[in-house]
Amino acid sequence: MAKFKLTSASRDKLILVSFMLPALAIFVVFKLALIPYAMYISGTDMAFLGEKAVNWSFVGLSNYYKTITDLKFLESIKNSLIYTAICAMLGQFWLGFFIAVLLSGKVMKNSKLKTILIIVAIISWILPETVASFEWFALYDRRYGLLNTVIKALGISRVTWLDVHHEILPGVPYALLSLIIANIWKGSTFSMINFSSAIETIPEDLYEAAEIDGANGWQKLRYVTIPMVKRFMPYILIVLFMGSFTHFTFVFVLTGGMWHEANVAIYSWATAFKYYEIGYGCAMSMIVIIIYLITGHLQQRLAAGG
Amino acid sequence: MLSPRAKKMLGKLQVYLVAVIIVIYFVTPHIWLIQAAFNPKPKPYISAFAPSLIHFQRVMEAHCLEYFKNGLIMSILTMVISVAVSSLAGYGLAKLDFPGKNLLILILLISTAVPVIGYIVPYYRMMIALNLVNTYWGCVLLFVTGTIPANIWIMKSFFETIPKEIEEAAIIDGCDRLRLFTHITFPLTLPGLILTSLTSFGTGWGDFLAPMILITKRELYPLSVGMVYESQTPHGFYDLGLYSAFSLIYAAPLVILYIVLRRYLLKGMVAGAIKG
Repeated sequence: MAKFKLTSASRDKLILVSFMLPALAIFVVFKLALIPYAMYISGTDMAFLGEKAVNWSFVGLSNYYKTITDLKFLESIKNSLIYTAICAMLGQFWLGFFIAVLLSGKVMKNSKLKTILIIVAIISWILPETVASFEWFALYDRRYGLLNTVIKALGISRVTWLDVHHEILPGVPYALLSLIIANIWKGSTFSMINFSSAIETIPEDLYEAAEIDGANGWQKLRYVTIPMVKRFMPYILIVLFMGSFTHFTFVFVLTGGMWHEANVAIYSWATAFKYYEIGYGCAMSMIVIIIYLITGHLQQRLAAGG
Repeated sequence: MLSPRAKKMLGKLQVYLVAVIIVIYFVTPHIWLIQAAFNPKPKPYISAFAPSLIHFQRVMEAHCLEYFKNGLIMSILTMVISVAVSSLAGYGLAKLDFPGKNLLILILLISTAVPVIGYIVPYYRMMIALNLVNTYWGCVLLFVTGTIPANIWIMKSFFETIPKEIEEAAIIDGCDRLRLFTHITFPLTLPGLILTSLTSFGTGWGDFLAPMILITKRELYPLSVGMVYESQTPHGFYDLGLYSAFSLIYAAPLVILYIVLRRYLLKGMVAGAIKG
């Protein structure tokens, strides 16, 4: 009897372990193992085509040195940072917060408008990026777009919204600003959902107490809502950062794939798959990987703490 | 001076007005897309509205069904494989304690953060070596890998909500692990399965970068890549009518699925986002 029990327990364990194996094997082989492989390629002058595809050699850290002297790469980093800072960390973050506050108000309680707002916000979020991006392309189109149609009706001359050569603000080409506006539309819902559920955790009596003290709407926001949701803010910010810093598809489609310096992701794609310099491309990939391992670690720590 | 009641009404009106403006902001691009899809001319309708299906005819001539089929096969394969292996692994992780378990989960979750662009070059070389470039499997494996960690995490938390007593009672009744899993645990985690299926399908259906790089044969493009390439004109412009019609066909299945199943989706997202 005792022996039977032992075997059944170990059989049980064996089954559970075998349950885990397929997923872990796929994950290790097709992702984790590729990170050291990318590091290995980044130390070579390997290419996809031509002589260097066969006769490549080790070049040490020179690909990494190249990144800091490559003006185009630095420009792509700059654009990534501007895009992330203005679009995600200001735009999406605060618009999402604003909508969440609006939805939580007494006025909106049980109103149809609330349901409609939530649904339209979620639709723009779950819409495939190729579609969302094109919707904005259709608005920005120089000849037939909605924006220029309105502008022309007002008697103002047309604007090339997706112009990458002219700057609307110092360091910000028209196209970058257009991308930022479009992506605020696409990506505010994450922060809206998170802030909404954070606001729901605030006890009602805190607001009642504030009202008795004579606080107006703005003061309630400033002294009750914001302090109570503050602890969720770093988590939301880091997730928004991760979503925007290497935003590929949305930016690629909206700029027709023609603007290689639009961000780091597109520049590293162009380096590897347009110019076939995969050694150099992998050096950029490694920079991206390191940034994301750090932010991913932060995200997990914040999620566990929050 | 306004009476307090009038003041309250005014405040209410202000909130409604702001909400309506936000709704308009969110809806305008969709409306513009729909008018472009049914508008035979690229010019916006101002005087007369004369909808036509010409762009949908052109879409059919632009191999839409072929792309649709390719995309569907990739998404369904992704969904089935990812949900199968992740729910198994999630179950294992929920029920078995072993040293280094937390570290394993942490590694899984952190490495999820690494975006595809970070490892697509070595992945591409690997696919060349395995002869999987220009096949469905090259993309499917990438999508499966990308969706596994989140799916394991979601399934694990669903399995953990099942009371131990139910399982113990079943074991005492002579039920072994395998039967327990198929007959008791699995049906109880249906909401988790719906959520993970939906997000995995959405990943396969919505991704653009991986098939753009891994597939170079036109006949194998999924809809996401096919529609961009078919509508592209030189110098980074798009055929507005064609792309709009493509977009409606492409987005429809996903939007419908999400609206029908949004209850599960929201619950899962909130559970994953904020704990406490």
